[in-house]
Amino acid sequence: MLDVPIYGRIATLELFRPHGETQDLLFIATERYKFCVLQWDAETSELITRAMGDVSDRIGRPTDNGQVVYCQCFHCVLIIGIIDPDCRLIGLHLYDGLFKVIPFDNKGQLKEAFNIRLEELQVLDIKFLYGCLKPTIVVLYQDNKDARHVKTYEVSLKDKDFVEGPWSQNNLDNGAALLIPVPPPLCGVLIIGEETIVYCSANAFKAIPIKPSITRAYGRVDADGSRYLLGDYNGLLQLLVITHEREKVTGLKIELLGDTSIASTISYLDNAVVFIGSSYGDSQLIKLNMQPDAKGSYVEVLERYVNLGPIVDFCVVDLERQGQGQVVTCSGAYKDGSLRVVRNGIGINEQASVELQGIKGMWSLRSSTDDPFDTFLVVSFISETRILAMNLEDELEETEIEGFYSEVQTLFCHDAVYNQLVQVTSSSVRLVSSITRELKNEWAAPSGYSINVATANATQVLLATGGGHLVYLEIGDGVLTEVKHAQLEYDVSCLDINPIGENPNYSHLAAVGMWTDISVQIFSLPDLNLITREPLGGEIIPRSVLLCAFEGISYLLCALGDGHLLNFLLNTSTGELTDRKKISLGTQPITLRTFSSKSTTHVFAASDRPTVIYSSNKKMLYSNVNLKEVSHMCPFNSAAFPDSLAIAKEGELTIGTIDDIQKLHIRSILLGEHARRICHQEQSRTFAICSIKYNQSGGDESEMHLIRLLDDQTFDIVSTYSLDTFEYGCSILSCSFSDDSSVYYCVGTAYGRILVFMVEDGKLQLVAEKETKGAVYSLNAFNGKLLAAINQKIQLYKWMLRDDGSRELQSECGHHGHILALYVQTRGDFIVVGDLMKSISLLIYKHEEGAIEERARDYNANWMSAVEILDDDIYLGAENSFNIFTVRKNSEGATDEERGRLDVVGEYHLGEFINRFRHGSLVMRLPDSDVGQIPTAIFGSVNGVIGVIASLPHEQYVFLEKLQTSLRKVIKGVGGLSHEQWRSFNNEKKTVEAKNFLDGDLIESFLDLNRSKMDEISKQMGVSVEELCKRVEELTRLH
Amino acid sequence: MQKMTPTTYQPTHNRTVPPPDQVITTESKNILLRHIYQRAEEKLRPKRAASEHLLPEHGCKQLRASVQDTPY
Repeated sequence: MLDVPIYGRIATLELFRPHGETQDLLFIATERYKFCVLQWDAETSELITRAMGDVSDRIGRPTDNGQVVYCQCFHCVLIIGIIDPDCRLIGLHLYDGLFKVIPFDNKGQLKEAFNIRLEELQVLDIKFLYGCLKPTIVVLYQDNKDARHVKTYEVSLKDKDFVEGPWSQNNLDNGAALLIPVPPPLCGVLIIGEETIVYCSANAFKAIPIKPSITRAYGRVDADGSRYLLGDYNGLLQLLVITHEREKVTGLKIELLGDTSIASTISYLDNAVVFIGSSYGDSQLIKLNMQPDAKGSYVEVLERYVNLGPIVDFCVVDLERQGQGQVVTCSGAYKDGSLRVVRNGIGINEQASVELQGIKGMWSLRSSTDDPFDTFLVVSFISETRILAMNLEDELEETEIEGFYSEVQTLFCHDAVYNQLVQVTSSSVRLVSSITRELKNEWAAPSGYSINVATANATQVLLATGGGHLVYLEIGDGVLTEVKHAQLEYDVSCLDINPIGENPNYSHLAAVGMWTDISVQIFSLPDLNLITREPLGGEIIPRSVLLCAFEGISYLLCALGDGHLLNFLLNTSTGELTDRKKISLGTQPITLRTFSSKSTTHVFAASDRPTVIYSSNKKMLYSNVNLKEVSHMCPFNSAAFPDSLAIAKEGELTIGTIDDIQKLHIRSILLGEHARRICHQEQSRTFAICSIKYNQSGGDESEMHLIRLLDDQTFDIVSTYSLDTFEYGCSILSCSFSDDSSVYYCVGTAYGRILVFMVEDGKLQLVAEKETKGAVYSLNAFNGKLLAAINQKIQLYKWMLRDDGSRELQSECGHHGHILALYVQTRGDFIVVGDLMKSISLLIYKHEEGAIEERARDYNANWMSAVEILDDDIYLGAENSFNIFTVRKNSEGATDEERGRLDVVGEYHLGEFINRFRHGSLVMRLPDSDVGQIPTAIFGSVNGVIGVIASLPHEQYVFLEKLQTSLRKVIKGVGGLSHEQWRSFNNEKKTVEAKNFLDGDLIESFLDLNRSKMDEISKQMGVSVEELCKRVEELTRLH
Repeated sequence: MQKMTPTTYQPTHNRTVPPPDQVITTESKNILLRHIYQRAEEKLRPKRAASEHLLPEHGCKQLRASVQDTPY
């Protein structure tokens, strides 16, 4: 329904209903201690902020496990029906030893929050209990001997303190980690452990043993709280039942239902349909069946929702060799591990192709009006027209339509009513029977005039001759009637009468593009009255016009000779054109054609940068087609190639089907094991991955560490090398060495080994092995040698030929001085190291001395998660508080001290934990376009986000920063959260305003604004809306 | 059927700002001081009750108690 950007990492999301409200409110707390209460206004479809605030404390140790926020809104008064205005509150556990309370007043308004001291320091879970007269929490905690207990407290709002609660329970399961409060009439709490499940209340205690497992999520099935779904770390789904007689709990029962993705959340919807939210695999919609299937599972997966997270590693490759990158990620965790191939743009899946040079136009025709399929493909050349058709063997072969002129170029063709076909050439319009293929009627151009451009639909023909003559014909059964003629001021460059009204065979409007005055004009039909004239501005003539309608909105598209596209909203009754927008698609003239895919109409813009124009949520979108250059396209829906397109490109005619019309395409290769590192080898056309396979057989759990070789097209596993038990593969690299033409895969392990493999006959062959003193966190190809990061050291290895002809890695030199050198990138002789906790340092390799020395470092204490070199002087880093930053080499510094320091130039809170940066781009880059010059890096994050960081030229940065500032005033943060605060660099040590980074998502949301808001920003900036749209659209083409 | 991509919500209305009395902060008083004052109050309360009882004999004490009764 709606995708709502929240300026924060969401720590808690709770629905609740304060007294007196008719609908639920949504409580959201962020990891940076902001919270808001949102209300959905169905009338205006807006989210309204009911309350917000800051729940941080100046002093306090954030709770362990990163930052877990426990919150619940106390409902008991509503459930047991006693309206006691004193006992309604929101509770939060944010810092060790403190419990924060936000009370409600009797009108349901929030009051000032206060803290209560909580004696238990190692809290594992806190929940409110149902059915108590006073708000009561139950706390699961661990004592300093690591034993686990639960305890209850009543919250006294008057004294702002805890009072000992009604019961407690000591010495629970050592793995107890989750509390489930049970609603009335049973009340009490379920304590989920690793080996037992316990039901506990003031007057009952029931326990059952379970198979050892870690429960990650639960979902309540019934309102009375007698059944719960539990999801464990292996993705097993179980049903827990509280058996009871009247309102007295008699025992617990548990039953295995089946397998799902490893659940992070479980929401029982209705009718045995459950949503499994997963952060380790795809989320799922499942149905719980009454009867088990053949495998004994009650679970039936109805739908999957793609989740790329956690992205542990990825690589950028050009698998189709089309100059466009695809990202292949190591996604998911444990048994939900997978590889995902993420591709931008729309692919064409070639079915057939034939070499044909010099195509000037293409049209498909049916052999009778009611035939569902196309039979003929008319291909026009400069001095002839050829007709192709499917033969009985489903091959495309040349045929003839006798009534057509085939010795000249065809200007336009179309199916016409009454089983007829229309062909327009420079001298005449021919009407031909599609059954007998014979000429039935012909309209000849007046002598001395030749037809320059023409268009037609099933009942109408519009053409223009030299001298600005516009002629309108109508098609009858065997007759062509000249209905109207108009003399225009200038010559016509393009025209269109695509029917977008109610009648699919007849258009009331004609769009005409003009030479000389560079305008587009709208005429009414049949009388050819000029109703709108729209000057286009500039000197580039319109080359293609198209009337089209998306999602009930009519548009006029007008493509110029320089690769720009203008679009207007078209009022079909008045012919008025409004909301002009201009974008750049490519650099060559564009030809526009409509086509259908899955019964929706889209527009294909053929050019040097072929693009599909479509509409989603009433917004026009542009998606690249993954082809280099297309001169012409026409839909060709034949029986042998249904729903296909005929595409003329680079001396070739191709018939192919088109992908689903959407921007990103994701292919999933489910591995059933956890892929942790990946790299691609062009020469062997393979991927190699380091993965962990978890085995659970008969309660015994073991893991196997594997190096897998996969075919880069089929993703089949073609070879496997087993590492030792507990030998994690930490790094993998495809490289070659000096004085050796072979290409190798190198693998570094946590065990202290570097393994060198060769791919021979599709198999991994171990050719060398080198022991290291520590875990090999990173491997890089470096000056024909191998550079490894081993614990606190950077080590360079030479590839040496031994006397017996075999090869070995031989240590050359190294550099000490890191806590743990985790991430390494190189450029020339420079080495950039991301340290576990000492930020970024820059090393240099000195050839003459055969030594690696430190050149400079960033003295901040950033805990790094990824680094990348953006250019000679600027290095990009990501750290574990979800920030990114850039540092600059200071070669011109006056003193050694200055030169030895990497200056922090950019800082930004991304809100994502980045595991990897890679150079590359998901879009095809045209070297001669503006965006082709902008270098980009791609990142992958734990939450499954793939993002692009583009290095903008200074002028563009300044412009977009101004736009961002204006947008912050117009687009408000949901819940009153501030964009500026959200993007400020923030870690344990400091919070500073973001600098030298811009939020592309915010800037691109300019295109979603309505016209008046765009005008507002245009006024603030002093830049036209058209220019703003164009520059933001350009930005969207970077990804 | 084509899968629908949800619209990205971009609020431009003014109701993203909460009502002025609904911008919540935490009571700034230190938790320990609050305890001390609370305990002081508790200690005083029975005294005051007692002093009312004993008013005729210990008239002079009432003044001191009432001074201490306004710790903040």
